Amino acid sequence: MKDNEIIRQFIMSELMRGKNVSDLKVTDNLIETGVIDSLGIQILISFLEKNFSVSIADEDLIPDNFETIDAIWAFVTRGEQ
Amino acid sequence: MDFSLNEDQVAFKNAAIEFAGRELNEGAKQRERDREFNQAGWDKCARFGIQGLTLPQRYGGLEMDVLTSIAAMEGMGYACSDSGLLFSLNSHIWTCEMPILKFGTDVQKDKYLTGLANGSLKGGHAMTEPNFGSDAFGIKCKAVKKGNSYVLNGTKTFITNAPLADILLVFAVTDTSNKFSGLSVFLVEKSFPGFSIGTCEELMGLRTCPIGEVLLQECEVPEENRLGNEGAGAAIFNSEMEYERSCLFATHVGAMEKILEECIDYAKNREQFGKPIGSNQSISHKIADMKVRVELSRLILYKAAWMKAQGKRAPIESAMAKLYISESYVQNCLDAIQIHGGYGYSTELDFERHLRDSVAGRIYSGTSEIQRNIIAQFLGI
Repeated sequence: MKDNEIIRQFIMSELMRGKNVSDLKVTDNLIETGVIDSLGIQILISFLEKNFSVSIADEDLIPDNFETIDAIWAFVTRGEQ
Repeated sequence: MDFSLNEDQVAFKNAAIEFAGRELNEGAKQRERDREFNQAGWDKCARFGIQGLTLPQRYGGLEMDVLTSIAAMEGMGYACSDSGLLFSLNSHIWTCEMPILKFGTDVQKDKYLTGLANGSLKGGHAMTEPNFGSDAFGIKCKAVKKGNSYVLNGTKTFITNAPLADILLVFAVTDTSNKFSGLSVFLVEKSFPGFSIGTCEELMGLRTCPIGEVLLQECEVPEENRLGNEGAGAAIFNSEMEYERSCLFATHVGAMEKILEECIDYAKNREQFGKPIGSNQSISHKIADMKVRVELSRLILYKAAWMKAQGKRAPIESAMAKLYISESYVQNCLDAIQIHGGYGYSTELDFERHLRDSVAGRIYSGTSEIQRNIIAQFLGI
């Protein structure tokens, strides 16, 4: 079953390589801390589109949808609710 | 995947070739020497429909799909020897019209798109700053909310169309606490108080394209001229860069095709030591490599454009297209000069001008090094 852990794992392994990743919480602000930058979000989107069968429009690339792992999870699962 | 053009697309591309060859080349060499923008050519392009290629008919556009649009621009690149005019048109289309069409409110679209489509308005975007090029999201231009307006302060440099632009999409920081979500975009008209043009750049190539500095000093921009939400700057920038990297380089592919044809013709007809120079493998292999670069450039161009036409994201494909086409254009220009010897190096022929123009392609829209960074990071390395 997919849950937000798969997103957390991806962010830690792909976007936070070489950084201290032991305590990344689902409520941590990924943008303010620089975990997600302009290129990182493109890589994250490719991952989300592939793994969650969602299509993400440019208009969706707003901070509200990507600020935290919780926000990302809510964004990619909103169609299921 | 089928990237082949249908009959209508081929006919439109051929019409663009015929139009550009007939209407845009007279006096081009002298204008290039004089660094003169071809205003008459701009107006003719507007009447043909170039500025409105991608825009809906309700704004006076031709409402062409992305693939048809790049086919037309490939035709323009093939037949038009004024790369500066083509660059100006490309910036107008991909970095001004498309973001407004995609992110603009109905009011913004109604206000600007008709003029942009009919060529009475010229547009562009202003991101680069004196100290921030590749590090695009480090820009310092600030926008501070003040009542129903924003006050912009900063300097933009190397801004395509700036000296002639009626409207520019200016990227500015509205939230200094972070890079990525702190950027916003503003539709800034040249008549706004505090907006002025600084130094015009004298560049190695693209000399007929007006490129210059934009100065924003207490420039007051109405809130209704913010494009997208506050913090949407990165999304808008990424979107327009994908379009630009996927589509702008169509004109390069057209130019490469023309150069290739001229090299083939020369190799068949130029004789040295009693035989055509093309009978020497040192020449024929060079031309074979040029052909491979043209065909692969066209394939990646069409693939990236096809993805955009499908409404798909194409970050890695657009980076590959931009990288490969721009590098191939430079190499094919160098090969063309070598094949033509002293005549190739002469300003009498057009190859040296192509070479000067082509080098810019490895720099603007993200340098070749930045494109490689993007590709590598998508590969997880």
